[in-house]
Amino acid sequence: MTSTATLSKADVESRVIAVLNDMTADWDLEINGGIGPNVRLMRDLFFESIDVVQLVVSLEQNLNCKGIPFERLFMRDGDYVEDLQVSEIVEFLHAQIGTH
Amino acid sequence: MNYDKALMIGLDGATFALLKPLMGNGVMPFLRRFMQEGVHGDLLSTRNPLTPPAWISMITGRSPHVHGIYDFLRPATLEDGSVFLKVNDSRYIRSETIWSIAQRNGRRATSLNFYGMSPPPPIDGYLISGFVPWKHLRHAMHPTGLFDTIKQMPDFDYKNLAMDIGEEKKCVQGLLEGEHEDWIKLQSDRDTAWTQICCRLMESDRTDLTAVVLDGPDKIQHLFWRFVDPVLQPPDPDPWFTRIRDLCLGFYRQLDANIERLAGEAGPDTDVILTSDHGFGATTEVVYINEWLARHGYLRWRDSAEHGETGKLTADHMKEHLGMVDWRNSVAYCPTPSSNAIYIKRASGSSPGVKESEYLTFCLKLRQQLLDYRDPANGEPVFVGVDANKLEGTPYVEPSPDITLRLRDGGFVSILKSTDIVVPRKHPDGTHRPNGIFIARGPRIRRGAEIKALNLLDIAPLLLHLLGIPVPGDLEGRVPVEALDERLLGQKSIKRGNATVAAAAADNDRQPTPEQREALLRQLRLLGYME
Repeated sequence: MTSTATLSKADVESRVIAVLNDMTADWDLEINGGIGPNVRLMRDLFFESIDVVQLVVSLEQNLNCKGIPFERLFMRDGDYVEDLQVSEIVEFLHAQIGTH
Repeated sequence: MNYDKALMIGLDGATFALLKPLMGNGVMPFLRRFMQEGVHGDLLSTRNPLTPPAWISMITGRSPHVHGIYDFLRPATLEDGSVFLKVNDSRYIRSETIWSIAQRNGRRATSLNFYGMSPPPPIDGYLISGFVPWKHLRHAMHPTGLFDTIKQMPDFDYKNLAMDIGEEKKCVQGLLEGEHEDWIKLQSDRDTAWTQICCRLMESDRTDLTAVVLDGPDKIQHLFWRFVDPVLQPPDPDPWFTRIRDLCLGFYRQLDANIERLAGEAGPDTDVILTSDHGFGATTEVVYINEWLARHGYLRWRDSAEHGETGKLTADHMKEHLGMVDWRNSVAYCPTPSSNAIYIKRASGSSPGVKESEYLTFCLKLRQQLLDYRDPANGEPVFVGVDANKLEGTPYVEPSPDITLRLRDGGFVSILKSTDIVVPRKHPDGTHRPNGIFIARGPRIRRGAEIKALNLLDIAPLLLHLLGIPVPGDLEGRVPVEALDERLLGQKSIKRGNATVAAAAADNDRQPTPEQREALLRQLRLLGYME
């Protein structure tokens, strides 16, 4: 398995998109152009809070890395963010896995 | 090799207080016969009698302070002092499960609908985690391909196996008008779906150990306790009450049929064990613990925090609750109603909290204030149990609650803001009790006997013994020989084996050094808390 510490941002993006595609395979979603960096979890994939939990687990499994501080991504100034774009997750993970 | 086989049927929340009357009045005839032909007794639950710690203790044979699962959620304090809640999953379970122990000893297992089994550990057999929404069932099953097999089964909707979190919350939040009948059907349909899958797997590829949880009883009893508890029946019920009671009794008739089908599929050569993770009883009031903490100076509400709706235990969304608390100015809090717990924030860097050197005094003062608190309405104590978990001088796995509460009516706390600390409920609802059930029947089980209460830590040793597997030396319970057929006891001695294999890696254990432990015990003795 490739060491996640050396992943480029493009590698991280393809992994995040692969995880989202796998996760939503049974959801009967129709997304023009498929899941890409501009897709938003709540608006486009109809995520609920429990789906975010499952996404975290799947990403940690894919990256073989438990305990990534996702709270820093989901909380800003003490409040939960309303929605997240795929590119924001990619940016966060790319910054984290080099230091985790 | 042909090994002995065992089937465990978990009935979430089942209690003899209800099952015995239902067996007596003809609603559950199979269970009555099953019990008469086997052995039964109470099964004592964990300190906080709750699904996550209790089922995980039952399938690991270890206590929550060892396996690390105390609640559905686990709180984490951020650098700025705010609190974030994470969801527990299988990766956080620190002790080995009986599925894994069975595999190490060359046996195969099937585990269906147990809490906390996702992501699914790769066992030799089949595993489908419980408490999973339909959108995530594919990733909650092992082996790969099981989901597609189930999805393609004719006349079977795999979505019936799922748990809708929105519906689940109604157990503590209540139902809207018109939802009652559908809710009862939902629980019955789900239990029946798990029964179908379990029977299908037993039929197609029988494993040495098969275990399934039917969680409908817990859901029904939370919301409909007053309709089913014999002592709460009104002398002159209105038609709607009678209609709902009849539907509930129909649920238990179907449950009886499901148990009969499972035991029948297992066959006469299989030892069948029925267990529950906790019992049930009535709750008659709501206790607002975070409001209590706020009035005693431990927690501060944000200015924007509004009072909770009457009778509710939590906000509709957890983030709404977390947003009500001014975390920088709070040092103790209850994160969830189900935890019945108080967490004390420790000082760390710039994060406000209680310093290590002040923890003992702080914790004991808080404990005493809780014990001293009296209901303004009648002067009676409200908190009848206040356990300071970290002052017991034993190792524990984080995130251990600092204090576990036991309310006088056995209920769960509300974590919302309120004008009063104690508010009577309009009607009694159902809530958990420590006494669950143990019923067993089979070729190696004693016949026609009632035994003294077992502890749910005894179930893992019992199942392993029935499978002919040496009981790992570090399991906390015992093989309850009084439940076994004494004619066979001599033929099959109880073997103790090596310790279990550690499961999840440590996050941040806190184990007192011998010096710290001795100093702690000395202080507690001086303060009169220990003999």
